[in-house]
Amino acid sequence: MSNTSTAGMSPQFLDLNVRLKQLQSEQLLMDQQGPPYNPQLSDQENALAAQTFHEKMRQLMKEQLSIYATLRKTAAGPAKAGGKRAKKAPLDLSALEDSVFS
Amino acid sequence: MLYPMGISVHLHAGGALAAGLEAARRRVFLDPEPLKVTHEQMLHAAYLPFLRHWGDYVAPEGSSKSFVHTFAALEHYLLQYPPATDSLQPYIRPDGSPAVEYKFAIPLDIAHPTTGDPILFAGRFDMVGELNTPTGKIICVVDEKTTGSLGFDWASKWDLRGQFLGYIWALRQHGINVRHACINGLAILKTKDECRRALVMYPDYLIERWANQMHRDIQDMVHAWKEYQDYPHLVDYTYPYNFADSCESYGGCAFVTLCQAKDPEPFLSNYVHYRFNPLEVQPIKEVEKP
Repeated sequence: MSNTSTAGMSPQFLDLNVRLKQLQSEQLLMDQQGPPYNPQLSDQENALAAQTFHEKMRQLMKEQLSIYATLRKTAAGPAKAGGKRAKKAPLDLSALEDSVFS
Repeated sequence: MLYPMGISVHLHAGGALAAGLEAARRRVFLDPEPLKVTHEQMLHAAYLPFLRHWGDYVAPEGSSKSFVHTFAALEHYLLQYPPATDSLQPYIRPDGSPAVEYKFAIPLDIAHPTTGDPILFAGRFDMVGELNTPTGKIICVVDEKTTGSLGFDWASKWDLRGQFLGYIWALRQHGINVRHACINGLAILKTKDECRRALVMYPDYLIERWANQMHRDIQDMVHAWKEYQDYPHLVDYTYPYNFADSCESYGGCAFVTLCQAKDPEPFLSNYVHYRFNPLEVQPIKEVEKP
């Protein structure tokens, strides 16, 4: 368990990391379970359930990649985003992630 | 094999990156129109295999190899070397499939000490590639190496690397005449991304020298194992100590505790038994206790 202090960390970034972790857990759980199948349902109904499952997986991934892009852009700082080089040191998100995920 | 408890962040991050990169490459190379596969589509293809490998792992405090940074290194690599237009393309097997994640298991003329079966030289690597150069195409072993930094002498590290000599030797046993390795270095950093590519040529005599050494090493292992069965009390002669800088190199040997102990047995609880299968994506798996 990490004891990294989160003092000074923006609540926004804490929330993003927490949300990312939640989505990852949900995605992994769904991935392990696989698409639902009920032998008492028709093939068409099962196909529809599988389609819904795969769409949910896609949406989960899309949201995670969006959060990842935001976190990455912030970690790199304005220089990477195309702006002027920041005078302050970039935010060290590795400590943030470890503290959130502990 | 004994393995220290805990997960190496370096191996974990490297494995996740390799899984994601393999998926991105397959997305492109198996598409009827590779040039139309977008960067976003590649990331989508890479993300789930990457996440599956990563799982719920938490990188050590202070490590740059967090989930976000490691995936960012993968994305940077795909931006710097887009698979569809990269000068490095996959070698196409006779059956038309791209040689992405190449496996091999080659029987040697050395018998296993208990089963009598030929010992297998087995492994898997990232890709067999064709590098387009001004002088023509070069078939090469392709491997990604994740690192914390790409120093000025990074490329020279691979000149005598047995890993690549072994891959090349294995490909030659499969009839693929290759003598080059293309090593892609990916630096996983907190605030920036960096990639570098090195092409190394291994002459025939060096490959043969490696093969001879490999055979000798395995024969020595078989001999040592037999000797240990006959004379277990002479284990220190069979498996000698190094008592040199290998105990401290690369962050320190994980078995120093055992070597320092007068009686290592009580300290074995600090280790777990793993089975190593180089042909699997996750080559190291804990052996279930009876």
